[in-house]
Amino acid sequence: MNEAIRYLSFALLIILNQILLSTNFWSVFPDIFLVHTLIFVTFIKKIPNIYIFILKGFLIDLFFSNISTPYTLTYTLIGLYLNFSNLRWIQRSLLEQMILIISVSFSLNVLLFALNSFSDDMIVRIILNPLLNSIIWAIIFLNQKQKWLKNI
Amino acid sequence: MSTNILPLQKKLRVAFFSLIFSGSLIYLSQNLNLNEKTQRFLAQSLDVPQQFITQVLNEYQEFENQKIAQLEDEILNLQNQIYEYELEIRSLENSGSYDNLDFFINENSATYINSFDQTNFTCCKKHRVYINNPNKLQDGIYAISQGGFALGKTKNISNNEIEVRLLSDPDEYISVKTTTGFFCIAKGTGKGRIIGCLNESKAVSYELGDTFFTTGFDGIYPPDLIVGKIVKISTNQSNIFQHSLEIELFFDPYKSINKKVIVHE
Repeated sequence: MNEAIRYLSFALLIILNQILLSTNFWSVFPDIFLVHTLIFVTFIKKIPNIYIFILKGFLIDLFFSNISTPYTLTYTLIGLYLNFSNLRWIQRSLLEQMILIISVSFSLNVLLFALNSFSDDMIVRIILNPLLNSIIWAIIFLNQKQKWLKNI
Repeated sequence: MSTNILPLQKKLRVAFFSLIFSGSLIYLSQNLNLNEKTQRFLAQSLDVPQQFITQVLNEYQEFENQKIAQLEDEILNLQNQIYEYELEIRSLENSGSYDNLDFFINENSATYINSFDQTNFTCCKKHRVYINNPNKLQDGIYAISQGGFALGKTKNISNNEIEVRLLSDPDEYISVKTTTGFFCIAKGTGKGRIIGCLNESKAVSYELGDTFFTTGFDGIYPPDLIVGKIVKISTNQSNIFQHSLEIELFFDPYKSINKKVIVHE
């Protein structure tokens, strides 16, 4: 994925997330930043430096959190995991991927809930969001698995 | 995408520095109040397009509402037309040998029902509708009909409104007859759209479905207005010669709002 497209898509995601927050769809929508990160680590040839992940999380927090902790911390962990892992992300089993996505999304949403007061539907998001994220990823993965694994 | 196999020592070092880096960023943003500033900037940047979209949406909604209101008006007009035609059809169906329906054409005496006292109708056997008083009628008792169908009598008259006591009200009486020449004084039962009358003579035959008309003997209702039809005939337990007749009225107060009625002065 081209660098420019990656940054542009990230900027668009910030605008989209703001729109989702101002409407009431945010609580029933998958985390667009997590899905975006998952997709871009699949397409790029080399996993970016961990500090890129931290900066990305920090930027999201700046725009959408009262305290710059939930996304910064989550993205730090994601960066560490991806950088230290011996296997590529898409080489892992779907079950393993889904468990990781659910646990990361759950902890991220709990942190967001603890530090912010986004909406009354936050409880719904804590339960629904991890499932939505994993389902979205499973759909993408099952559709593209053959193509991706062939290119490794 | 490729992965590097890092030695444990390097992993620990990277993890330590990345946590320090994260912590510094969090500390910095808290100290400089960066979150609030960034969020304000984002809100301001999106304010103009948001206002534009909101305005477009509002205008579209207004346009839709106007269309809906227009359609609702059309539906209401069509419903009124259908109601008028139904009245005509039913009055023709039930007119029998009586075809003296001249009172239909006196447009000056026409007015509209503006409300129906539903609460008292259901709870307290007080059956009333209220009609406009465009001709500024003064005190008096007048018969009210809807097309060729008897409805009730005026009770209280004010400058703007006339209270009409429906035939089904327990205090209301009306002299009625059938086409076969059976006459009786019917009384409101307090049940919706039902009046009753007693027959002792049995000299004239009648059966379920027979239509009743006003006789005009009471001096209030003009003769030959359609009242209702027999829906139940029962024999009195204590007097086997006496029949109790239940007459269902054609006028339905629940469908009456904003419908045209005639005041028989």
